[in-house]
Amino acid sequence: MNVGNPRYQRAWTADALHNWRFGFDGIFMDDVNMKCNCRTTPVEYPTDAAYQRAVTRFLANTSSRLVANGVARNRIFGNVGYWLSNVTKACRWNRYISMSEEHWTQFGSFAQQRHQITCAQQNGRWFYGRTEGSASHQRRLRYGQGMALLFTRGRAVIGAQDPTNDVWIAAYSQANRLGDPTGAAFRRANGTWRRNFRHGYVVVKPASKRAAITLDAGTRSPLVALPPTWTGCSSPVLSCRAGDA
Amino acid sequence: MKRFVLSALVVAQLVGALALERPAAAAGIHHGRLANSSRPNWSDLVESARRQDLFVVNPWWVRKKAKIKATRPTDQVIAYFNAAGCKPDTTPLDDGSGRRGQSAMPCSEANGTSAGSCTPARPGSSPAASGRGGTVRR
Repeated sequence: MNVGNPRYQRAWTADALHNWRFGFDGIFMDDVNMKCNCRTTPVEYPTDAAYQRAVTRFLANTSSRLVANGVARNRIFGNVGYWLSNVTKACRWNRYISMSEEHWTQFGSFAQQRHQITCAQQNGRWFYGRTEGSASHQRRLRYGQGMALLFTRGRAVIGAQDPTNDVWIAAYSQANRLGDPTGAAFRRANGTWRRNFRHGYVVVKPASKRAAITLDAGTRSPLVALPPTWTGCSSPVLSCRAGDA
Repeated sequence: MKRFVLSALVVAQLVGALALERPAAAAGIHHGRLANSSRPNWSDLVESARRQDLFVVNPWWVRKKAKIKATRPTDQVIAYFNAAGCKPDTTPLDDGSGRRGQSAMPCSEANGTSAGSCTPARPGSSPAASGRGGTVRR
């Protein structure tokens, strides 16, 4: 769909509001992307920058209308695709929406991931990070949890990217028992990061994607290496050049 | 009466907007569940509501939403709605009201508002909207 089209934006907002009025707390916008998720290059947006400008207009116009109709701005979540292609640029959308990452800590550098969760929580907005995996992927999910614990400002939500099942791992319960942080995260001489909480602490080792939560009672989750993971790619169509598609 | 109803709505919105800012863990962590497949596993809905703070669900699950809220009123339940894809049809709400919800703009409507666009190319593996799909490395 042509997200930059003002008629589309108005119609989209009306439809989103129709559904929100069934009593929901907010709206989750999927496919708020830094690149067009298209089979071919759209005529309207020959560059990523052009498409990003269209998405920015879409977010500005739709979010302002949603807010004017009673939706809390920090309850408008945009699922940002290709966020890591330009973390800083994508973070500008924090002005309009809370931001979501569906491959939280699976790709990109430690610095990029830190930037994601930090910028998303500015202006009273929220960060919602989902990591692909089932309950059998505890190490991967624990790392996503650990990174979020390092940089949460109280507006970070994390979980598994599993549209069917409720995925809950022991580290989530441990994290809930940590309480509030007592200070900011800090880097230690050995390259690990640590953050202290009222009832324990978390240690994250970015180089090997390990995380461990230690509670005051002595409960400890193991440090385990995370193997690299890769996924495929898709490309639906927005609009096509003549002869394309 | 109308003024009272409007005031109540405003208060309800404020309560909803602030619900996640829990004093018990003001700067701690929260957990969320995305449940927008065609047939999510709701067998543990009460337990799920107890441990999750935020849900993203298809907008026709209003009874599920009510059950989550009844279990844990501070839980935030967000309606999934695709920003850039369309869906051929709507779905009846699960409350038996006869109303219908949608997880993306109906394609018939979208094509009329998006001049120059092609029909979404392929059935998505994304559960909510056609034309979107697969897992994308981002």
